Formats: sequence, structure tokens, C-alpha cells
Amino acid sequence: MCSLSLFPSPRTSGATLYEHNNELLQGHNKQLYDLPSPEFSRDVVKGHSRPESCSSKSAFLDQTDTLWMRSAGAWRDVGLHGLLDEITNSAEEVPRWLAVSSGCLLALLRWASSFHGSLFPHLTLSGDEMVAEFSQMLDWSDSAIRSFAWHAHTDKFAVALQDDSIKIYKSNSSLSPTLKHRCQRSVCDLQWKPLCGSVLAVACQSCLLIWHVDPTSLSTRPSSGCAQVLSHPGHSPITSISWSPTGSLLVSASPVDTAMMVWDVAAEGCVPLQRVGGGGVTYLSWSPDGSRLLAATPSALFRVWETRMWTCERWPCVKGSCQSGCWSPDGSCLLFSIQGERLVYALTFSDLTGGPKAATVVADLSETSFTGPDGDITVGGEVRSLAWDPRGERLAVLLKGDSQAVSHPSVIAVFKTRSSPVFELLPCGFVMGEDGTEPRFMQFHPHFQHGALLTVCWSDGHISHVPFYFSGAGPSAGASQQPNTDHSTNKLYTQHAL
Amino acid sequence: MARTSDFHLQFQEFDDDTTVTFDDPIKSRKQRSAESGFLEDETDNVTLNGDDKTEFLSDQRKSAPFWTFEYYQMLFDVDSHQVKNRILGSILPWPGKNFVEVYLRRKPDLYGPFWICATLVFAIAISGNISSFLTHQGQPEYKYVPDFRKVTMAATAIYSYAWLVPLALWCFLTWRNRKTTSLVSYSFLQIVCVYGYSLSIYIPAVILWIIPSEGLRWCSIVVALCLSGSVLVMTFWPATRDDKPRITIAVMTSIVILHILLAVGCKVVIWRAVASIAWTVILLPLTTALFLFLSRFCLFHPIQWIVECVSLLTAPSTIFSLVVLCGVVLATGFFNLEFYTLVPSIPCSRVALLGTVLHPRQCVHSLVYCIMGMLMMWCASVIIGGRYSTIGSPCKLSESGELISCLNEYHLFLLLAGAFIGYSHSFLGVVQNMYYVSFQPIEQYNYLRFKGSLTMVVKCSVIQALYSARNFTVLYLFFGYLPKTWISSTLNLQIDSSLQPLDSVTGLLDFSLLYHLSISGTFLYLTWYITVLLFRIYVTEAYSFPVQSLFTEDAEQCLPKVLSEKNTLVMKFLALQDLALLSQHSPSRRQEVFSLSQPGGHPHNWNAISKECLSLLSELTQRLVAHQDAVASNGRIKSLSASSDTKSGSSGSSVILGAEDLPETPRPNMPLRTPGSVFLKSSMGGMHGPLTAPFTPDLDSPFSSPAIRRLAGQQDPHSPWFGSVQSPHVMRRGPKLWSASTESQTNGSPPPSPATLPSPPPANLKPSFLTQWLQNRREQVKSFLAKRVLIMYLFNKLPEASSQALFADSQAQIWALQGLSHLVAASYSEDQFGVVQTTLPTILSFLVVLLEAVDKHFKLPHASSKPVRTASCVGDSTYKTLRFALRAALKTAIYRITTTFGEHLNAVKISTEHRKRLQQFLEFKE
Repeated sequence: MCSLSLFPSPRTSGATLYEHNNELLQGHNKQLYDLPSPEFSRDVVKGHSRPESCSSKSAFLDQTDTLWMRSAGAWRDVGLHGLLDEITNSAEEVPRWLAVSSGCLLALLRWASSFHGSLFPHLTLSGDEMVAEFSQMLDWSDSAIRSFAWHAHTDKFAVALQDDSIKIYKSNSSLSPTLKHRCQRSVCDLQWKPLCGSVLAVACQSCLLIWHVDPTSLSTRPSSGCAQVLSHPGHSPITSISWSPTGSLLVSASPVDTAMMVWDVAAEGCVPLQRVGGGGVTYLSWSPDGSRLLAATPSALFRVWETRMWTCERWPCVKGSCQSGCWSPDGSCLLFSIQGERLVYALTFSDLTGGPKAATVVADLSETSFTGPDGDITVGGEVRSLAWDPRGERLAVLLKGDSQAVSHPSVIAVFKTRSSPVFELLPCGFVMGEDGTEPRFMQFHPHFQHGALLTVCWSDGHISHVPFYFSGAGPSAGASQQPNTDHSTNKLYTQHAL
Repeated sequence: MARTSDFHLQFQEFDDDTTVTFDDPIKSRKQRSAESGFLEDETDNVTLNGDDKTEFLSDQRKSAPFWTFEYYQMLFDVDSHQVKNRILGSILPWPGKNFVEVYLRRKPDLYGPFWICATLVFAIAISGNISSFLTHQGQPEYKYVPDFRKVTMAATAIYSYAWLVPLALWCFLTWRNRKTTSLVSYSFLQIVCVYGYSLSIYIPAVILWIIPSEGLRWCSIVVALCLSGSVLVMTFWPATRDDKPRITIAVMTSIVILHILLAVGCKVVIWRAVASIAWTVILLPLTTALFLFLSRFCLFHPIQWIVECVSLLTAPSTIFSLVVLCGVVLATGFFNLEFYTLVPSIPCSRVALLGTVLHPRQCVHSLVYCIMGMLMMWCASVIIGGRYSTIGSPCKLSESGELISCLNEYHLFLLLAGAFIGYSHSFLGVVQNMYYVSFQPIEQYNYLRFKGSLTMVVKCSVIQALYSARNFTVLYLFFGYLPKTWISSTLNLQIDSSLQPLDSVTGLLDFSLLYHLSISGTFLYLTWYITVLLFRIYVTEAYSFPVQSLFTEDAEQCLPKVLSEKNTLVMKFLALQDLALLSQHSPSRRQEVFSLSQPGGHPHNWNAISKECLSLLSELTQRLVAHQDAVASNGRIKSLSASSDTKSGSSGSSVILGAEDLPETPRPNMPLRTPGSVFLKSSMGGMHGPLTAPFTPDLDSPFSSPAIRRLAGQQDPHSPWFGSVQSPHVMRRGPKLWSASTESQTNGSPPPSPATLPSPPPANLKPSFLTQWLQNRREQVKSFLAKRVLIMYLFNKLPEASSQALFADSQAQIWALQGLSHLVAASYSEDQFGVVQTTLPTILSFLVVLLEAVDKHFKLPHASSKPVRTASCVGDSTYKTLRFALRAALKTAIYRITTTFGEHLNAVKISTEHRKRLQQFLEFKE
């Protein structure tokens, strides 16, 4: 098992620039690699100060309506709850028995919903709170950047901002189209369709938007006619989406819906896949080979679906729900983290042995203090998200810090990984930002030629790219920079320590 | 169950003896007084036959209890001459001769029925095999493979018929016996025996099936049906004669209907369909029990309610209605088989929709569903019991002191509601394309799929039942007196004036009535929806074909063979689905596709598969190009038709004719256009029929260029433009022509019809004057009609329909694209012999050409507009978006190939335009 104490001490001067010769280098010169790195300050992209409820009631003066009209309005706006509330509140206008019975009914409903809520506490959250809770983005509601996604095949990425717009940046093109749509609220996840140049799926508060952004178009504001709206009753807010690697299917998940939807996007049809237990689905991750799908629920349970016949394995956790997960490139190994724990677990799937029996701990990320030139710095904490580069050589872990303590920031810890002969994690280093900034989100570039490229969204609203130059253990690696000699010493950190 | 029936059996047979012989003088006398004629007749026969001794001996032996061996030995104790007589008696209906009284008497045997059923099973299987051999004999590639599944299928069908129907009948007779004592009672074994012998006539009829002539087969079936049916009717006539006439009629008709069903059911041999229907029947008791509990729901006495319901579950009336319901469900299941389709029929205008609804096929469907609905509602009302159970109820005393039965309006109300629900189900079925079977984007196990969609089905049936209840109540309020008076006059039932009539507002404001109406409506819809749902689930289940087989017998079942098959559309679809799946998921089967044949080293598998996929794609391309030509070239056609004015004039006049008589005359050539049912053989739809069929609606447009007509004519001999236009029926299609020409009065005119039309011959002699006149008249009529809003509403083309129709069968192409692209992508690393490399340029150019055609199509008006998402419950609307799915699948397929091969594509020999297009894909600019 690898732990943070084996890591080199984080240096606080300057941002991490790149990895070279197994060393993470710091510096101040910003643009190293030819990729757009935009910056969004929070004042510029300030979201609308929308009231929480979507009714426009507050904008109008109070008007004395008949009870009938008010009830009809309440029924239309809020549903049964509103109707009962209205009747109970206007007790002097209705017969006494009606008022009393509706009051009783209302109390009963509240009790039932609170009972349900006590089983699944996340159901008591409001829409935005729920998205903030289950988003992969750290501190989602406060962040200028809401979500980020690399295109699978080109140097192109999409950024969702706090003002509910999405911007698309391409390398060597100054044009950055802005996508806005009436339904595009509280964006929680973005995913580009694989094997396609133009399709971007957006998980919104109320629906799923599929944008068709023509790559050759010169327009900076594609009309909302370019977007398909997919929705299913009871399936909102959507907190996670995932395309199948073949690009044919899209899976979406909502924490309030126990069913996850498998969409045939072009045909706009969906198949709900429902299983009892869990109270919803919060996070989805499709394995790169397309054979398995991780589906986390808000309770202490996650599922691994096999995508041939769509059956699932249940994986109950001891405590806490599954917060994040990532797959090895060949789809055989799943790393995941549990909410509230400082550990990274691994599950190894192989067709021969019929699947794993229990998860193994591969990394311990509990708080560790490092003494630096300018004071102590504490690193470690709850694992917020995990990312594995497409070659399977680097694993990035976003560790949540203590927001109160200055010396305990959120950091990204990067491990080197090797899957053969045994799966092992070796320490690589910490990716630090400019002074006073914390990482919020990270993603690996899907096809970086010279190693791996980690893109990080920072709390001050800028996006930076950190390349890791190495040549893989693959056959193309001529001059291997990978230290092959220290195999014996590395054994210290490997899995057998469990 | 078996135990109780056996008890009954003994008891009954003992009873039976008493009716004839001297043991029980009182009952015997009673019986004699009831039907003296028959008894005399029978005693005559007894003495004449001279079998008395054996009869009486057998009576004594009957005391053997049913668990002993002797009891069963007795059932097989017959002489060969007796069997011969019985068979003859079952074949030849002789007026006044009751089969049971004359031949069986107290000594039913199981020997005859068992062997007759066995013979029939093998006769069906053998003659089926021989006839399929004979029909395929001419074809060189046909190899005879005995189909043993026919034996099991036939055995299941025949034996279940010979046991279940007698069981139902016996239940019913026992049930009625409790009410009326004076009935002739038959034992269960006697009924089984009668049914068993009545099957004997089918053996020669089935042997006649060997002759490959559809007409003769039906003839033989009908003759056999009439003969054995009349024997059955004459046998059971006295048993029910003394009951009320309507019961008699009901029983007799149901006996006949079930008999007909058997005759028809022999011909349908589809395993999956049978599995789905079997599951529906298995689920039926559950839903029935649920219905029973709900219908008797009583809030204030929960314990009493539960106890009562549990006791009712085993009551004979409930079991009888359950058996009838099973029969109805079986019948609907088999009946539906004719209507399921893989390619939806898409009407191009509202008139076409009307035509579909009024089509004879659809009318038969509606009628059958009305009857089924009434039958099921009758069962439901029997289960509910109480005031709903019978149609007549004794209500008052007449002057002479007799009870006069009155019409029970509640029962009538429910029955009519059943018919209404049946009709609305059938109507919605065609409007929402409920019988369109679509394939799911993902695979799931049948059980999980069923479980997943069960809640949706229940919700839908509740909603639909509430709508139907509302509509029916309103309908009954206004027109309820019509059936009421008619029924009361025909059945001689009086209308009780003391009760509140139901066709009034106060009468209908009866909560319990409305509750029962909606509950039983839900029950009906649920049963039907489950039938459809289970069928869809079972038919679309993926089937794994072997890619190549070691044995020549299985060669017919191999994937390349099945792919190129043109007989059954559903097999082709399943094969394509399997291809798409194997290319994605199964490396070992991909390896088989890439393999070379052992002697010779030819890539036969890959060649066959790629050829079939490419032909599918190129066919779609041709269709699209033809459609674009048609849309683009309307101007040219106009001048052309204006010059050939004679023909256009005459067709114009006939167009008007057609438009006038349209609503009454559904167009007889519709079945050619409506895509064939799932199981139809090539004679009817086949692969070519359905594939080109969706295009035919556009052929009707006057803008169709001669090129398309030729194309369609060559490919689809059933196309209305192929030769057979001489038939006057075609002119009934007028509205289609008309619709298009009204739509574009300025530049459109009906096309020059390639065939002789019922045009006046003088037209050819004096074209100048007459054509002028006709032209003028036509213009007048057109402009007159165009101003009528209703007509415009009916005849205007629905905007997206032509696009939808073009892509109606695109699921096949989508799978072909997926399969091809995955195979090509996999060949990059897995293809050891370079099998794919030779065809790669062809595949790429086909894909690019198709992409161009599709892109062009989406530039047409309305083609890229999204359909309105309707919240129709069970009706499947995925066909509306198939064109988008196809476009996405096509692009993904090209991307898959380009990303896999990358720069290597530059080495592939393709034309420069295509290369330019592929370069776009390489740069991800699509």
C-alpha cells in the first residue's frame, strides 16, 4: 500500500509545470504547451441571482382570488402539496371538515416524506445542493467553473461556467463558441461523444442536453436549435453522464431516481434500468473497453454493470457511499474511493476467475505533514475524485483539504501505476497551483503523444495543463526513462503489503 | 385438480347410469319426462346394438376406484369394431343421432382419442415437412432438413386442445347443472372421448396438405371443420338445450369457435410466439385473482372481504371463467400474430390513415377484438358477481303468477363496454402502431425486461381504461337506448321500469358501477398489453447463429445463409442483430468470420456477410437518391404530363371518382403496401416487399420520375405501378394522387399512368376538344375542392411522413453499419489473412456515398425536423426517429474506421472526392 508519507515534499513556490525525468518541476512561466488555458474570474461569470423556486409568484402583487382559483393555481404550480396547503391555510372559507382532513393529510404526507428522507437523507436536499453534493467538481456551487470535458479525439475542450453557459476552446483557433440554452441550468457534467466530432452531452438541472456543435462553423453563438433536449419524468437533477466508448449509448444518472437511463441519443429513446436499493444513482463511469459500468448510489452501495446483458453486481460498502471511481485502460481494474474515507480501493475483474470477492486497499491518503521552507503544510484527506491517464501510467487523486486551515489545502496527488506483474502504485508527486489557489477538478487529456497531460481547473478560475513526459512501458518506448532497476525497492509499496 | 375431477367423474358416471337404467326410478322418470324422445331413441339403439351384456358388465367393473390399475384398464378396453364405428360416427354427422348416446353410451374409452391425437400429430409433422420439401424442390441450393420442432409443436397444440377444451366444457356444464337440474349430464371422460374422436377427420385433411396449394389446404380444413363441428354441436345440443336460449347459443358458438381456432392454429408454427403466449396464459390467473380481489373490495369489512374472495377463487364459476379467459387470451395471442410487423406502416396523409383504419384487415381485427372484449367482459362480470352476473333477472310476477325475467341493464352495460374497449384498443393499435415490434438499444434478460416494463404497462392500462370508461359512459348516455331496446326485444326480456334506467345522468352517477367499469377495463387492457409486451420481448431476444458449421445439415442455420435469406423478415433482422453483437463482443466469432475456407482458402464467410450488408446499404442509397430526384424534378414531370394529356385527363377524372367513393371503399391494394406481418413469407411481403414498400407512398406522388417507377417496379412486383394497374382497384387509390395534386395545384398534375385506364375511347380520337374540356373541368373541381377546409385537412400530406416512410426499415441498415464497421475496425489487429483489406475500398466508398445521400436528404424540408414526442403508452414510436439514428450510426461507423486506420487510409485506393470526405473525418470536422 502506498501512503502520502512516501511522497516528496510539496514545494509551495510556484505552480507545478511538468514532469520530466520522474520529477515534477515548479516554475512561473505560464504557457508551456500549445493549448488554450482560459481564465474565468468569478465576477465576470457571476450566475443569475435566480430565486430558488422557479415560480414567478414573487414578481406579482398579491391579488384576492377565489379559493377555487387559488387552489387550481396551487395544484398547477406545486401539485398535491400546494393544494392541500392552500386548503388548510384558508380554513375560514372552506367547510371545517375539509380543512381538517386536508390538514391531516398534509401532516401524513410530510411524515411519510420525512420517513423516506430519513432512509435516504439526500432526498431532503434541494436541487442545487444535491448537484453540489454529488458533483465531481470540488466546491461546485462556489466555483466559477462548473464542469470541464476534453474531446476524446481532438485538442478541444468544453467548460461549463457558473452563468450556465458553456464555452468550447480549440487549440490553434481563437474562436470559442458559447452555448446557451433555456434549459441549461446548474450544469453538473459534460461529456463529448466518442467517435464523433461534434456532439456534446450536458447534464443539467432538469434535463439532458445534446449539443451538435459544428466544428467547421464560424458562429460564436450556436442557436438553441442545435440542441436536443432529452428528459424523462422523475429523472432530474442529472449529476452524471457517461458515453459508451463505442459512442452508441449514453447513460445518465440522477440521485433521486433509482433507475439509470440508457439513451439511444439519436433516436431519443431510453431504457430505464432499475434496481431496488440505493435510493438513486450519483456517479457513472464506463470502462474504456466498454464492458463494464460503475454506478455509485447515495447510500453505502455501488454497482458494477456488465454491459452485454446488463446485469449488475452489488458491492455494499462498510460505510459511506462511493464518491468517485476510475477504470484502468483495459477495463480490468477499478479504483474507487469512499466518501469520508482517506483510502483508495481496487477491484480487479478478470473473466477467468469470475470476478473479485472483495476490494483491496491500494493507497492510504490520510493527513501527513511536510515541513517546508515556509512553514508546515498538511496534505491528505478525503478523496474527491480520481483520474487515470489513458495509457494507465499515472493516477491523479484530488484530495479535499480543510477549508478553514490555510496550511491544509486541497491538493492533487499523482501516482505512477503499473499493472504487471502485480498492480502497484508508486509515488510521483503533488501538483500545486499558484499561491492561494486550490485545485477543483482535473481530467487527463485523452490522447497526449508524449506521456500524459493533466488538465486542472483551479479555484481562481483558471485552467492549466500539466504534462507528464515519460515514455510508456509499451513496445514503442525506445529509450526507457522508466526506472526498471528499482523493481525490488518498489515492492515495498505494492499490493502484497495488504 | 385431477383428484377432484376424478371424484366428480365417478359420481357422474354413477349418476349417468341411473338416468338410463332402473336403479333410480325417480330420477329416471324425471329425466324421461324432460326429454322423452331422446330416451326412447336411445333405448332402441341399445337393444338394437346388442351390446347390452358388455355394457352392463362394464358397469359392474366401474366400481373399481380410480387409483387402481383396473380403473384405467377399463378405459382402454374397446374392440376394434367399436373404435371403427365410433370413428365413422364422428366423421358422419347424422341428424338426430347423438354421438354419445349412440356410440359411447356409458363406456367412453381413451384408446381412440389417444391414438387419434398421436396419428394427427405425426400426420401434421410429416405432411408439413413433405410440403416444405415439395415447395423448395426446384431450388438448387435447398437442402432438405427435417424439422422435428413441428412434432413437438403439433403435439402441444393437439393434446392441449383435446384436454383443456373438454375440461372447460365440463366445468361449465357442471356449473350450469347446479342451476337447472333437468340437463343431460355428460361425464368428463365422455366429453374427452367425443373431442378425441372428432379430431379423426383431420387426419385425411392434414394428409391433403402435402399438395402445395393453399386453396386446397383451406378447403380440406373447412370441410373437416364442418363435419366434426356438426358432430360436436349435435352432441352437446341436448346438454344445453334446456337451459336458457342465450346460454345455449353462447355454448354452441364457443364450441364452434374453439374448433375453428384449432383448425387455424395448426398452421402457425413459431416457437417464440408460442412461448410468449404461454407466458401470457400463465400470468392470467394472477391478474384474474387480483381483479377478483379489487372488484369485491370492501373498505369496511376487510376480513370478510378477504375470506369471501379466497373462497370465490375456487368456485366453479370463477374457474370456468378463468378457462374461458385462457381461451380468449390464446385466441388473441394467435390472432395478433398476423398483425405484428417489423416495418411500421406510415400513412402519408390523414386520408391514408383513415384508409388504414377502414381496411378490411383492420375491420376484421376490430371485430375480433370487439368479440374478445365482450367475452372477457362477460367473464369479468361473472367474476364480479352480484348484480352484474346475468343478463336476465327475474323481476316481477306476471298475471299468471310466473316470474318474468327482465333485462339486467348492468350486465348489458358491461358487455357493451367490453365491445367498446375492444374496438378502441384495435383502433389505437393501428393509429399508434402498437403492433410494430422495435428492437431495444440494449439487451436484457427477458425476465428483467418484463419486470422493468411491467409498471409502465400497468400505468398505461389504468390510464387507458379511465379514458375508455369516460368515453363509453358518454356514449352510453346518448345512444344506450338503442342496444337496450334491441336486446330486450330479441331476447324477449322486459325492461324493468321500476329501476332507474342507466342511460340517464342519475343512473350513470353510480360510483360502484363506474368503479367496476374502470377496474374491468383495466383488466382487459392489461391482459392485451401484456400479450403484446411479452411477444415483443420474446421475438426481439437476440439469437446466436453459428458463423460456420462443421456439418452440412446445419448449413442453413449459419449466419451468412440466414443473412441472405429473403423469406422471413424477422430471421433477417435477428441475423443482422446477431452480426452487430458478435462484431462488438465476441473475438472468437469474429475470428470465424475472418477465416478462410478449408479446401480452397476462400473467405466465404466474410464475402457473404459484407456483400449482404453492402447490398442493404446500396439499396437505401438508391431509395434516397430516387426520392431526391423525385422531389427535385417536379417541374419536368409537369410538362411531360401536360403533353400526354389524354392519359392525365382520364386519370384526373378517375381521381375524382376515387375521391368520391373513398370513405366507403377501403382500398383493396392496401395489403400490398402495408408491410408484411412479421411472419409472412415472401409471397406476401418478404424482404423485398417491406423494404420497398415504405417507399411506395411516395410513388403515388405525381412527381415521381420514371426512374423510380422503374426501380420500384423491378424490385417490388407488388408495387401498384407494376403492370397490374389495369385493375380498377388502383383507381381507388385516387386520393393519394389527388392529395398531391391538390397540394400543388400550380405545378402538379397526375402522372402519366403507364397502363390502360378505364378511359373513354373517344378521347384518343378527338384529343383536342375533349382533353381541353376535361382539363378545364378538372381544374374547376380541383379549385372547388381545394377551398373546402375539411378536404384539405384530410388530403394534405403529413409533413414528416415521407421521410419516416423512407427510413421505416432502417434498423436493418443500422445493424449492418455497426456490424461492418466493428468488423473492419477489428480486422486492423485480428485479420490474419488480409481478408477485409480487399473489400475496404468498396466499403468506404459505399459508406461515403450513403453519407452523401443521407446528408442531402436531411436538407429537404421537414426531413430534419424532430417529431413531436408523444406520450403514447404501449405504442412504439421509435420508427419516427429512425432516420436520425441511421445518420448517427453512419457517422459513427465511418469515424470508427477512420480512427482505427488513421493515416493508413491514404494507402487505400478510393476516388479523390471520397478521400476528401474521409479527410474531414480524419480531422474530426464532421
